[in-house]
Amino acid sequence: MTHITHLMTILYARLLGLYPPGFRAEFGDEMRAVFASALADAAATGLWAALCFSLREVAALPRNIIQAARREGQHRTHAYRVYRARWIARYNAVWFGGLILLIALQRLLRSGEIDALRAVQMLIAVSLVLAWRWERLGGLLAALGGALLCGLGLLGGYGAGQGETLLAQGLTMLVGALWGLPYLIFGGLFLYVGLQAEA
Amino acid sequence: MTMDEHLPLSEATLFILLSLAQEPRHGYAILKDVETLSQGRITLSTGTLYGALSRLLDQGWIERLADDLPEDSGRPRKRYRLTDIGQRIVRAETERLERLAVVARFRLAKESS
Repeated sequence: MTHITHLMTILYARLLGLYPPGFRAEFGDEMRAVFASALADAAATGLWAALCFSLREVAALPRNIIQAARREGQHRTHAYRVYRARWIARYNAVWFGGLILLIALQRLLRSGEIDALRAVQMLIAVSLVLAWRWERLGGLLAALGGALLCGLGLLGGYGAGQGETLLAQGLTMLVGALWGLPYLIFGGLFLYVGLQAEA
Repeated sequence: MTMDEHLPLSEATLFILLSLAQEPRHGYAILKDVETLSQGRITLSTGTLYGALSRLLDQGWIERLADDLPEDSGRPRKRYRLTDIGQRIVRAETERLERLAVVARFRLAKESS
């Protein structure tokens, strides 16, 4: 039982990392201590009670985290801005980078071959996902890759729009540039967060 | 801003403030006391408790005591205390509930007679 409660306390401490930094710095240690004491109490009556207690705590976390983030947002601290930017970047990196990787892998498995451009795009998507862990390096690679894709998109749009009206050519180039824009934005956001966190 | 503008308090907030009305307490003691005061009806999660404490600290209704009592494990335990404003808020809420109870009893007595 001691091992289980110890593991649950460690897990809870990890989950506390989801709270905004200001709140975490102020109450994180206390919350962990209170959780450990309450869990020990619950565990004294049995494993089922300890599990119920832990589940109740975990279930209450999302609402409490949102409330804490909202309150910290009202204070508009610098730390909160970085925290918010980090989660925006992380959330988008996972769904966007993951989706692109999934599509690229699906195509690769279906056709069995890969061209240079798709390989580059996959590498950039991987950088974006890895930026979750290595913010500055992943962000820099994703942003540079995004800029490269934007440039290629512009050139491609320019080529495809040859012979069209100026407006049509401009629009084609714009659509081409949009290709790498998400990587540029989310990679840049990771880079910003990484640099701010270091500062 | 008058006292009444803060009222009514949520049940959880009232119980947290009541828990601190007699003496300063640390987080876990508040958690247990709220459960006892509410006769087991309100079981606060750790996150809910500290969310409420954070808000009450910001509002100036409670304060954190400077002297941290070391726990058995050696970790510091911060205690919280009701401020003067907090005490006035609790009194105002208690009076509001009393008025409500008087009206309710009066109306029920009239209906049963």
